[in-house]
Amino acid sequence: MLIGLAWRSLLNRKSSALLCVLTIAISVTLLAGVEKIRHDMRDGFFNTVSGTDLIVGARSGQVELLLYSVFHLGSATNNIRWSSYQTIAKDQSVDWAVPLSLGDSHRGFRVVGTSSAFFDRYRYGSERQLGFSAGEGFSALHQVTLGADVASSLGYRLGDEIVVSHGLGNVSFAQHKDQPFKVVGILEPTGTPVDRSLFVSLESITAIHVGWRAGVPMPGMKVSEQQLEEMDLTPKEITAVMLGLKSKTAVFQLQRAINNFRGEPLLAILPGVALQELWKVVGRAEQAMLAISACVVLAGLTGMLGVLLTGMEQRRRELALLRAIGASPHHLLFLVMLEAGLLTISGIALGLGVLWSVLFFAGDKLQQLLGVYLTLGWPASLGWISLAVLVAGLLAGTLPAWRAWRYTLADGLTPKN
Amino acid sequence: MSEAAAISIHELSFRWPRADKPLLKIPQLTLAAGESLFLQGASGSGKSTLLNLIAGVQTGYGGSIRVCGEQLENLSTRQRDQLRADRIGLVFQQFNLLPWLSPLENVVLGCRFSAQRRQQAARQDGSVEAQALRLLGELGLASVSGEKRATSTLSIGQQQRVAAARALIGNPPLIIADEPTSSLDSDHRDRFIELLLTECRRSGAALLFVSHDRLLATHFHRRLQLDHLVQPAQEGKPC
Repeated sequence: MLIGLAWRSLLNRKSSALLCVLTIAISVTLLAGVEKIRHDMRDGFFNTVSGTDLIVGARSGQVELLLYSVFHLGSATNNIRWSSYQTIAKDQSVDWAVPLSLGDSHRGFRVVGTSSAFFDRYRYGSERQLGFSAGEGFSALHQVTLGADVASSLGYRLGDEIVVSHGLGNVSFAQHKDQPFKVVGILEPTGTPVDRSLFVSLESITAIHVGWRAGVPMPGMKVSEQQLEEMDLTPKEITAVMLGLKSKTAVFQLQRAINNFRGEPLLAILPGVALQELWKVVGRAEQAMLAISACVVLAGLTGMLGVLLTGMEQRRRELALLRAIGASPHHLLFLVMLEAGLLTISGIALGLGVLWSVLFFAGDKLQQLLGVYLTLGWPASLGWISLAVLVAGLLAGTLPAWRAWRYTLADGLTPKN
Repeated sequence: MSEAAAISIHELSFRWPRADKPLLKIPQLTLAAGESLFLQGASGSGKSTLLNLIAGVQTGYGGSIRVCGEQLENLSTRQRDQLRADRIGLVFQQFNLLPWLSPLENVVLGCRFSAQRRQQAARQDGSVEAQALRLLGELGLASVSGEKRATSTLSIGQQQRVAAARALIGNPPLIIADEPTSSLDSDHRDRFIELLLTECRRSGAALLFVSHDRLLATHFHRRLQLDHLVQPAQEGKPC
């Protein structure tokens, strides 16, 4: 019953009410948006590698190994011998093994030497497989498959020829100019480091380094395509191995076995555990983000408080009149609280509507911009966010409501001005 | 309606918390059901305080006040508010209406806090809106009643008549009018008082009409001077 009056009264103050709703809406969009991104970022982070049971590399720290093998950050201090790889891959508990060879780049993007099994075995998100937006995985020497970001930011298409640089710098003087690669496939975006990588076969990696010593081409050494094809291009060393096991129960046993490998010092890590450890560091930022957006909500509600409080002075007569026709101070307290509630609820609804539309219409753009794989949906804690904002809004409403209460008691039937 | 007197005041005294002399001291004041009483008092004579006491929004007095048979001292704050909503229609000098409601909605507002008055209106005219329309028609406002136009566009005379309709809706046994004509010119003043008296007669409501203007007294059954009621030599405090 009172809600009709509250509504009409707000309509009468359309512009300030609208401003209120907008401020709250913006802050809610921000809060829910940050929460959404935070959540998807977390999911994306933990789902960067799924379906891989162990990652093996030269002995170092587990976070370090995770960083260079999965996130392509930093570089390995040591490599693994090809023979060690073969021994591990042949272990009876191993279902599949995908070798990774890192160390070259193309215009700032990492070049990953691997086997074509990578495209079948790599999983991200909830067991999602890689897909091709064009072409296919490499199948021969000097063929390259591009991650989505690489293709879109450098504007590459199928059939283009690219040159790989030696080393990881953005501007490298040592280029493998003599052996250009042909783009045969482009992957669909995944929101993982895969998007920012180029994939070639291990043999290609070996081939481009034929005739190189200590990072520079030896003068006068040129190899022809013919010669390369006759050569044995099996690599001597690789950087890391991704392992899938036949049975998950064997994980710890195999991990221990690899860590105690006789041939050379190796380290096997469980990706989930290493991710967890890394998140402890990275996750700090997300909490800061959340705190900041909570502050924005606070600012929005303070704005509403201001509008309601200044409105109270002007509405003193209105309150006295309502009192004269039989409203008790409780009614008026409730009326003002209702207004605050209506404003807050409208703000929340509008804010969430904006968030949804942004996700719906601009989700892809945002994804590219933020590098976060955004799902279309509400943040998991939507209910809590809405409830928290509503409660905060009602709390903010208590102040003008209390003022209304005081006015009605002081004024009686006729306002004193 | 009830046979009880609309207002019955006995040995009333009221003083502000820190004042040394009482503002009001009224040995006896009665307004019978259906009667119209003109209460004259200069500003500062405690008129507003007396009305606040009768309407139940001011407490802390000595003596007794009965409104429509209910002893105000025995009622809780909430019960006094409900009594006001159910039994009393109020008209003020100005700011009687919510400017953001239509005239019709302002009249209907008179029943907003009283189920009793809503039922009464429905019994008499079929619905609250029907009674509001009838009252507006009788007060010569048929032309504005159908419109969704803003109340603020009405003339002051029209606004006061809308306020009278709001006080009358649902047939409360007591109408209190506090300087309702002070903003009107003399032609409108007399017409307004006549309309108000006619409507009160029709509904059987008692009318307490408060004004400083002694010339208006001729319209009423009875006339009282607040200054004479109140014990002599008191100093009025503006409120």
